[in-house]
Amino acid sequence: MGIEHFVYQPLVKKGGALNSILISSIGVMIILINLIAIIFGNETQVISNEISNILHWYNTIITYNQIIQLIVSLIIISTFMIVLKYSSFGLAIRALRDDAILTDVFGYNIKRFRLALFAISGILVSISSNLVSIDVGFDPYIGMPMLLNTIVALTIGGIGTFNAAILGGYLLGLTQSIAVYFFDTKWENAITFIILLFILIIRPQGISGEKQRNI
Amino acid sequence: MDYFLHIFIMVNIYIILCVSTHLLVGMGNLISMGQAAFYGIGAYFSSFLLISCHFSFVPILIIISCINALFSLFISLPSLRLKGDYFVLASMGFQLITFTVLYNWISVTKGPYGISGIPSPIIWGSVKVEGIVGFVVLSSIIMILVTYLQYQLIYSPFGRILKALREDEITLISLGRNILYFKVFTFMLSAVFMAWGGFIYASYITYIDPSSFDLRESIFILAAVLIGGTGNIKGPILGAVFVIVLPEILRFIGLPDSIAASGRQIIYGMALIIFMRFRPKGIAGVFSFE
Repeated sequence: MGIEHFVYQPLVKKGGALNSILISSIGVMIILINLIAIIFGNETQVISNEISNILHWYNTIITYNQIIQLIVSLIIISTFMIVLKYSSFGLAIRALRDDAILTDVFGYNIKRFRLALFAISGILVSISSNLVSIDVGFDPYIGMPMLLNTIVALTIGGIGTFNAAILGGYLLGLTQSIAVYFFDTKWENAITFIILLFILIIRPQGISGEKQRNI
Repeated sequence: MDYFLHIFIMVNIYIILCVSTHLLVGMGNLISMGQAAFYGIGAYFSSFLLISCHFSFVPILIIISCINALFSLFISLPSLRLKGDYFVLASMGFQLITFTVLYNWISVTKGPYGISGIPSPIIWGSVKVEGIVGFVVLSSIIMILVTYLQYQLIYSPFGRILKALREDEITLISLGRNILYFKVFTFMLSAVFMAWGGFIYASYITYIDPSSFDLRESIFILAAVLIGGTGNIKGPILGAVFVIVLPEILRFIGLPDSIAASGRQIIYGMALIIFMRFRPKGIAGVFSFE
């Protein structure tokens, strides 16, 4: 939230275009990643060294950690969907997305909503990174590939609505796993980005987003 | 003395890279995260040609220019129709696909093992580029050539159309110009000159591997262009000098080795933020991102 306040808001006030905000956010990411690397060291950390317990179900093997991941993420997603659809806070956020200036005119404090959104997204990201760290460990540099996967998932689903993002996430995860099953694992990233390029060419607004094509 | 010559050569290489990127990012306002991919493609193809066929200098330049132009068409034709933000994503996708292919296609590119023992280029059949002084001369000549060409491009009718493109695209369409053609052509020109930089890099360092051409490098080149300034020829030159010389100066301050690399990255991140906030024009630019 401090970052939003000190870095992004002044740019928005000055009327900076999306490009400056994008570049500043890249700067923020570089600083944060390297600060963490300085303070905590560059090696991969693991939470526990034991072999995980597994659940053996016909031919599938799932670790207990992955079951926790599944349950927690399902709870969070459904909570979010319910809040967004049925609460007044959710209504205000959807209004903000549709037309920011009108929402301001109606008396909602946009700055505070933006700060709240940053806080919520920060919380959600930290929950998901905790879930992943328990499973496979972490180092200061795992953020970037995850961010790229997130961007691809968002683009596939479409930027407009929250449900679209969830749809995109599931589709991308499934497609990645299926593709890795047929090709080598080392091509996983390339496949992800070929999917991205494919979607951008065929249907840039994603599966259920707004029209984004120009010329 | 060799140390200063090495810095001088690296500055030359990065000036070539930055003025080429500046044509796309500064003049055309098309932020592309894929520049290091073209740099890498140029470096890899020139090393193939140098090692296997012992081509001489000018044929290699021509061949890698054509190859890079083809690759640039492959990415630009579909994605330049998209709105600005999506083009950034598409270029990032291209960068990462290229990096993954370079890294994993071990039979051709030797992946993370890299290609070593790249010989120096031969000019005119008997004149070979000898030692570090030879590369100083070579890189300076190429740098001056590229800078001169870019200068002509910026201050030509083509450059004026690019300026119009970045200021007000819709007016340009209404005046009847085919802006897709101009965007594709700009992208192709910048990719071609990135290949030249890659060629000099490959033959000077005599060892290349995919990690020098990843997303981090793309961001680095972008940062150099933005810090230096856009809109004129001084900007990217100053930016390249800045980002190459600054870490060398910091080396003498005496940061402990364990945090030196991360510390350098932090300074870049801060420089990006500070410049975007307080001086979006960069050190010597005339155009700020509005």
